[in-house]
Amino acid sequence: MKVEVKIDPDLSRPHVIIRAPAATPEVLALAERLRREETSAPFTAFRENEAVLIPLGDILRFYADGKGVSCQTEKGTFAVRQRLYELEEEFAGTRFVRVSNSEIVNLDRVTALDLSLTGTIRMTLAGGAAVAFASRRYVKKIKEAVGL
Amino acid sequence: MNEMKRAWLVRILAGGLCGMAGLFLLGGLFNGARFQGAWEIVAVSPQMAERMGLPLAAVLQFGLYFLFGAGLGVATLPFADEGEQLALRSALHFLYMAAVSSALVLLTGWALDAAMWLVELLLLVLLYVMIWLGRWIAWCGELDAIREKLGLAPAPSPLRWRESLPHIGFAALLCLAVPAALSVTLFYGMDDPTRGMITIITPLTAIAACVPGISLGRRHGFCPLYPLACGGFYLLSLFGLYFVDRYRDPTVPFLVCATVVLAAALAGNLCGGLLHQRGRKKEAAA
Repeated sequence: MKVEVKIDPDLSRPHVIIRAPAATPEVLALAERLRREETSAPFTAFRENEAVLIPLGDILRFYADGKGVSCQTEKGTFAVRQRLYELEEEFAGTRFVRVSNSEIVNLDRVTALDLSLTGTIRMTLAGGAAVAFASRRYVKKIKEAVGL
Repeated sequence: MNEMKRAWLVRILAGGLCGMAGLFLLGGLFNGARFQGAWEIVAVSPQMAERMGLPLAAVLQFGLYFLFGAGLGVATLPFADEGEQLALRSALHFLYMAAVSSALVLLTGWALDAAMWLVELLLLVLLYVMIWLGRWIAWCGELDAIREKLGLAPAPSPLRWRESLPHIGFAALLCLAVPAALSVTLFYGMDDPTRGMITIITPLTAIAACVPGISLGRRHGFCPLYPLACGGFYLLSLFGLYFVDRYRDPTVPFLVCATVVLAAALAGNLCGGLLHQRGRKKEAAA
């Protein structure tokens, strides 16, 4: 396997492209390892003023509820010290996407998408552990994040 | 003045002026057909001119043309929202358009009686349902594409019936409800409504049926149920006209018309299907 590193000062985060003649199991496993590497990076959240390290891949969504910002996992909800716009900037270019004024969702944990008659998208996360509602104003961002 | 207000103002002015120009021709032709019995431009409704004098009638008629065009100019803005805002703004826009078009058809005498006015209102309702359904179909397509990228896409259904379903609903409106309502509205009381239906409504319906066919094909490939639904629904709308017109031998021209609509929808769907196939090949090559 040939490994090449190119430095691009315009990028805000590392961007890995795998070039291969075919999608062999080895290539897919390599891609999965890299993806896991990113999602296993820890994120600091708080429960009763105690810091908790949560792997990014475990986070379903960040949301603002009037009192502050929280992050939700399958195991529970934790307080977050950053504002939503700060999280949006921090996770720009990743699978964490702003879907409404009050929510950022982990697209890798979306298990179903449903459309209401008035255009709002209902996103089911982790098979129903959480539900988020995407506003049409943010659909463009979702499309960009999934490469459309 | 903020950007939003400027956008509304530009659309109102541009739509109003276009409405005046467009309705001068269309409304003029309609005045000619309704009151003089010939397809020639009569700028001001003779009924209005007789009732309130030519200058006032002209000002009122062109004012209503402006208001109608302005309403059309801003028609997409209420639908740009979502949720409750979309429902509220589109309902307000509908009430405005219903009020302006009612004033227009009642004052000019284009509506011969209350029943015909109600049919015109029904036509407006159909237009709104079509716009809404058109947007909803676009949203469905968008969501399908996102699902696919997230690995959530379901397998295509037999004959792609599930994928075609929103478009078949659209075809029911476009090829059945709208032609039927248009035929009653435009040709009621005229000598040969069937001829009008065949020469005016059929080509318009064919063009209108072709465009969603392209979008459906591009999204899902060849979907045979959509063109069949267009042809079938249009045939039904034509036979509805037969009962009004008592046309002596309608079968042959009606079948030809339905085939034209079916062929246009099929051509659109096949073109879209080819684009879909090309896109997939490109994706595979990349």
